[in-house]
Amino acid sequence: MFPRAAAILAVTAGACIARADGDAAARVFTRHCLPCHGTNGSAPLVLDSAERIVRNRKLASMLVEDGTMPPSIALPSADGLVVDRRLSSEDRATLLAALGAGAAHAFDAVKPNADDRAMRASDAIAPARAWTMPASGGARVRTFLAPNASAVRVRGVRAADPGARAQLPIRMMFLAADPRGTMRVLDAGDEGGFEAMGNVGLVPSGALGALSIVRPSFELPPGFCFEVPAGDIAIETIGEPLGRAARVLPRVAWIAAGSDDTRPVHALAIPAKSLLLRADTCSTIELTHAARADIDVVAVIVKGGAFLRSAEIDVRNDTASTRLLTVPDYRMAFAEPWVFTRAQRVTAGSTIVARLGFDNTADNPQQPSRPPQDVEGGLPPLGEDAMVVVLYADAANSR
Amino acid sequence: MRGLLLHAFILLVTLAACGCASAPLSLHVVGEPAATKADAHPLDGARGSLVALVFISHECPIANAMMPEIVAIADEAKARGIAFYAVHPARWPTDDALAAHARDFALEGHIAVLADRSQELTHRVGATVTPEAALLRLDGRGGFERLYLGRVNDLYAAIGRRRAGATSNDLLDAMRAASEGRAIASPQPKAVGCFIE
Repeated sequence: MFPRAAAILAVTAGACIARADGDAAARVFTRHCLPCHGTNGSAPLVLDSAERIVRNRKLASMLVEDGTMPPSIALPSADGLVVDRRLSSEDRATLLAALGAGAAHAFDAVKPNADDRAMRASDAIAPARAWTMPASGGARVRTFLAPNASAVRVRGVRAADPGARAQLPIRMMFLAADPRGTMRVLDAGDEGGFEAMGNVGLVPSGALGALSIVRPSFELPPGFCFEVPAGDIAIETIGEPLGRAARVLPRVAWIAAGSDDTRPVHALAIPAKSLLLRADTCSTIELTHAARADIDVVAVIVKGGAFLRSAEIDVRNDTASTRLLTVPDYRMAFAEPWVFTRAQRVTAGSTIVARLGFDNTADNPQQPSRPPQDVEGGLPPLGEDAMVVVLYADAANSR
Repeated sequence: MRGLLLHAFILLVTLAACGCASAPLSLHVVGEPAATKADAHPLDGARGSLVALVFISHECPIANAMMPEIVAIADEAKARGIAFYAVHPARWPTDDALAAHARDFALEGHIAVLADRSQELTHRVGATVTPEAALLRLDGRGGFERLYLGRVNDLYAAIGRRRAGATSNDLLDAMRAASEGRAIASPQPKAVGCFIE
């Protein structure tokens, strides 16, 4: 009698432990994976149910194990400047154990979340006309103009419906205001948008934030805001062909500012001028910007293409050098605007130094030419334009 | 229960008699109306004939991104007299979903698309990811010699590392070499993509 009871108890306890582990795995997955891999998420692979997770478990295990997922290509600095999206060792172990077991019940609590990001069409900022991206080829830059009816103060911006079919080819979006409509002359073709970057005069694209597959929602730190004028919003997109002709129509929505979000954020552009990458060489270029007044840096956007392999951003003055950002293995597919957890004061007289590493050798896994060719500044896929956009607020406005 | 055991026994006897290489495959052609749906027999060609298979998944972004290149390779295969099939090694998608995928990616008229729901062909060939390509020389008895198993091309070096275009067309090179009597280059580069589960 006793052994039988003990056996029942042991089996029951085992089931409870399995269930508890499963619940933990589902929680980790829901928190760290589902925001992008949900029903209407930005990731190309939808993993919104236990069944879908289990049938992609080998791929998921491999990418979680080697640290590719969740994507987080910037190293957090010692004082935690950039949000670290990587899994803790405990969460990683929990997820890998459940994926390795392949038991669907471990992810039963993961449910389709189609309505999470659903929004009314009237809430979205969207261009009037779409563009058809060809089925094949390399990454393409295309800028669209979307009307913004009235001036608004916002905390950020998000992809209106990142999982929608017309959003799927888009890897990144960079926003800038064009209140005078200076770019409209370029937007006169039969299809929506034009093949150019979205800089508006000296205002870089990204001045109103940026979005990516990895970060479909961009929010400034508390206390800061964008002051968006009425008029056109230039939405520069970088897209990759899906293997079929695809309609592309970027749609975004503002994230409203709170009453305390009063410090207006501006952008400064640090572009790589006259870029020339010789075939079969690796090179590092150093871009600098001298601060003329005290500023608080809240975010950095690094723009580059297939040849950009690393980025380091420092602030230097006469006595010290502070590291703002390290991206040791830049991949455009996993790039994002890096928003600091707290604003970084750059005092007048200091210099922002960006070191960008390029690889134009055959060892570059994204090398588009065989053998490598000299590369000049220009649009991808065969040209390379690199720029660092720094989002900041005047320190004089700090409280 | 007795009926089930009898069926299992008959199946075992059949497998033992035929050997794995000549066991009939359970495949069907995607995109045909159910009433006329034909079983497919990609391994039933004449002795010495070449067959190219590309294992794909309607859900895998990497496989989908390569479809234009795969269609172009299929067209060249046809010109060289090489049979070419795209194979879905998946149990779960409906026929309608696979047919819609073939329409979406303009496979119709270029590539015969097969559903390998039992994954028997997939396992016999040794494919483990999508997209992955195989080139086979048939023995005329339902068996084959595997000449190539690996990537279609190098459009993807890794997950999240896509080139503007492929710089190495490994399946095409293997097809050309085999049909011209030349040796196929080795080592055969591994495919990058979504695992076949």
